[in-house]
Amino acid sequence: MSHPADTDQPDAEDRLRVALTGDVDIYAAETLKAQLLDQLLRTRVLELDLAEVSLIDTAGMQILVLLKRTAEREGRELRLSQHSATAAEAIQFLGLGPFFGDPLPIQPQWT
Amino acid sequence: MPHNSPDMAAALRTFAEESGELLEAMASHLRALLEGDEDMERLHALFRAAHTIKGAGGMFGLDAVVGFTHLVENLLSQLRDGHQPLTPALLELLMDCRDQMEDLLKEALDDGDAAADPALAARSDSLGARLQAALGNTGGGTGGGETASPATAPPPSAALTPATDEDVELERVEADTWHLSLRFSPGVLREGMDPISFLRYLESVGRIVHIATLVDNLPDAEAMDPLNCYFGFEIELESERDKDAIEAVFDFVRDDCQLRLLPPHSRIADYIALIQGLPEGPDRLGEILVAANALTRQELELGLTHQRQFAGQAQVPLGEILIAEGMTHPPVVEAALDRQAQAKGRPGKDKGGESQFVRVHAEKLDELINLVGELVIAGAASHLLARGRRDRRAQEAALTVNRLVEQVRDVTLKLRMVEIGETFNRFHRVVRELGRDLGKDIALDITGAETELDKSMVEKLGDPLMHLVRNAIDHGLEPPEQRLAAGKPERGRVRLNAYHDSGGIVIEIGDDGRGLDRERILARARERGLIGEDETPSDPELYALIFEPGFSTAQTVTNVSGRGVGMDVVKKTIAALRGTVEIDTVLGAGTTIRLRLPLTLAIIEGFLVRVENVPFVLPLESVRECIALSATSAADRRQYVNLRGEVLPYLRLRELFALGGTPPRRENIVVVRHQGNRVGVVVDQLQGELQTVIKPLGRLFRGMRGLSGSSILGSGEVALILDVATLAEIATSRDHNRGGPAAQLQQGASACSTQ
Amino acid sequence: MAKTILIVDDSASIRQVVKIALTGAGYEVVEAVDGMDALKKLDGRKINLVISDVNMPNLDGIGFVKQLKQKSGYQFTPVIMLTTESEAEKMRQGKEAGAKAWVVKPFQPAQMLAAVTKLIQP
Repeated sequence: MSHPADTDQPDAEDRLRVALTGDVDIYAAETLKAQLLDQLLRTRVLELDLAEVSLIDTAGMQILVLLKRTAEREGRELRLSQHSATAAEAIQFLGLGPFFGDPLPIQPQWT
Repeated sequence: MPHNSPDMAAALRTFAEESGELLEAMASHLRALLEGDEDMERLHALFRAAHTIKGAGGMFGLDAVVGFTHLVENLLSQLRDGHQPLTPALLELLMDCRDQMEDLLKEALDDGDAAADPALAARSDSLGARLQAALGNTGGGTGGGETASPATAPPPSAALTPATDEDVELERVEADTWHLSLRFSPGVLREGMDPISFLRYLESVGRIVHIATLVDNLPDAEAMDPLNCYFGFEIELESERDKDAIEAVFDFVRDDCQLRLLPPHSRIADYIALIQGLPEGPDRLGEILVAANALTRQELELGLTHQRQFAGQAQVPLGEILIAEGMTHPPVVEAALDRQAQAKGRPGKDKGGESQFVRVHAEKLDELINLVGELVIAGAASHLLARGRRDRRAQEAALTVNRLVEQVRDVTLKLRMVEIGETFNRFHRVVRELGRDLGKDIALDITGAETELDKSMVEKLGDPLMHLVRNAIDHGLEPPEQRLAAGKPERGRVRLNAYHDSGGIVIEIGDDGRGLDRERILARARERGLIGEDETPSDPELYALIFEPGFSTAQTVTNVSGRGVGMDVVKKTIAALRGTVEIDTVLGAGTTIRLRLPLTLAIIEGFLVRVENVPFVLPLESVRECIALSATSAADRRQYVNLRGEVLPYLRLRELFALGGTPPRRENIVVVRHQGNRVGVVVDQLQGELQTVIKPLGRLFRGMRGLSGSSILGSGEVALILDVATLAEIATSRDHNRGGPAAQLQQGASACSTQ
Repeated sequence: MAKTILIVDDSASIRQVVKIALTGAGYEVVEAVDGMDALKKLDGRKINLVISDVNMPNLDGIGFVKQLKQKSGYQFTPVIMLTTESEAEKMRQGKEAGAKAWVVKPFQPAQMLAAVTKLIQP
């Protein structure tokens, strides 16, 4: 559940890409909230790479929703990208695809 | 009868079709019942058909139809609820009534204003009298089923009187799913209880048709405690199990959640009570339930209107009925009723039940879009002119106009955007019917139904989607015995999914079937001479062959598909829409066909660049950044640069399209992104963003790799719109400098500039 | 990655049956013979769910859950408690300690699997 940024600084176009790894769950929730909010407020676009996410529980999903809403309120943008099968499935399952608005392909092994 | 407006006339035609289908369906259900099929679902279907004909007929003022059908509906309602046994005599009566409905409809639809045929009216009267008599039988008398008569065990729904329009409280919803409404206590997560887990477990007692996750109660960042639960859920569940079985899913969190459960075909009033008892408020929840297909919009309106009319007296009976039916625990109802009272204390912010829609003919929209397209070009021209004049005030004015035009354009395009869900939903029936024909049990999952795209695109997608779904069902999904043997669930799954990506829409048709068999396709391709004996094509290359004309590996030809007709048509249609087709497949696990299409064929946000002064447009949404190509990188002939530690392959438009000339001292790389891959496009000049109307490619350019359209700039020049997907493919493949379209472009470009 | 379940029970046969049912469904199972042993077995490893008997020597189920809920990395881990008979008082204590889910012995393996699957999926 470590979540270091790819680079700590936003790029030339004020985008920051952060990779989440492991379980995005209740044990990570407090750290994630503090760290990602801080990163969101330092950049125009925060892109969360979900390729290495192995699990998202309710607490974890709430953090993602919080970030999305905060971004909208602050005139910034949150993008979720490279969803792992688990991450994509969790978002689909909860019907939150339209809320996040990111592309969510069918996974090769989606059953 | 206001049939004179063209819209009403069109609607009436729709009704004519619809009622025709419903009458057909009624006939076949009645026949089956006469032949001894005792499927209760048939009675439900009969009732719904009569109900729809009556309801829709009422909108058109077809009084004779409505009056008669009303009686038929009442009898069907009694039969459906088991208050009367279904006897052969009643079935014969219903058959006669159905025929009478058909005649009445025919008369009403053919010449609505002509004088009614007296013989027909007389038949309505005599059949009506027989219906009345049959309805009067409820209490006892003939049949043998009166031991369980309503007098001894009055079911709350129909004990009072037969359902009539006035009895809105007794009106039931169409939805045949359970509705679950779940709210958790804030502390539930700390207890180690994860609501999502319980929702997943719910799948063991049925099939989840829809989940809406409510995020309304999540507070601001500052106030939000990451360990508290804020989500709520509204769920539609298809299940054969009873209420106890569904409730048992949540037994571990019984103290930590509020669960409200409505069985299939609950009363509208129960839904209204439910949504009024929840913190998000009736307006918001009403919309969610409509989106989830739990309620139709009509049902919602009906319920809310009724509730308003009978405010004050309706609360108590509703609550009592809820408890009486064991739907919910008394404290919950009390709490809900309290909320309702509070809500009523506030001044109502309802805008009345007035519909918020205006119907517009699609042609008028097309005309508007065309004009806006022209406006965009004219705006760009005046902006250029103002810039040339160096007149600051003219420039400012032009900028303002441009900004407004841009807004007008956005709004106009949105007018034509429709959700793809309606198209997807049509496949429920296709899947059901095909599944039945082929002896396969199939579930259809639909996701991304809210994804919007241009109406003109939707219309063109119907056929290709139909081909692909049929193909998935017929070829993709194995027969049940093979599935079981492979350790898969007997029920196969087909999925339709849509989402927006890089400014376009992606539509996916997935199945969890056998997957494509590489070896078999390879063998077939060799047999047909599409691939040489010693060639070993890559997966995408090989799988693309299934879209070749006449290519089918099906070992048995069924009447559904398998003659190799269709898939090539799919590819052609999609290509004509500037789209691409991809295949994802895992042997034994399933196949997903992915269509990428532009959202609209009309307008593009672009990024203008020039090479040898030829203007090119890149779709703006794919442009990530621009960097200078350093002289040293340019000098060595590698086709990639180092972009912040990542390898960035690039291609030169100059070379790709053989534009000749000498590169300027300083070239630029536009970094574009396609499906997660970044590639660089080397150009001479960067000219910035523009919006432009897409025109189809001229004959000369058609079929040329790397281009997707053309456009006329404000200056009158023709700009070529680049196809990022193809560019990315060329740049990442090894042999891109073999060229291809180069020679043709030479001709094309000169042909263009002379215009 | 398979999810790991810790089963704490002094009865080897119960542990065995539970283990068969759970591994068959795709979970990893770690066994402990009592509360003390269970605390040792934690050893900082990721545990997704705990199944614990109430009546055990050394450290009983209630005491074990109380300690578990104090440990960082385990305080939110779901717990299923096993009781032999309807032990109302034990149940009250257990719930107070943080165990919300209860399964009454004797249980069928399928019942246990159902209880587990409500809380975590394999």
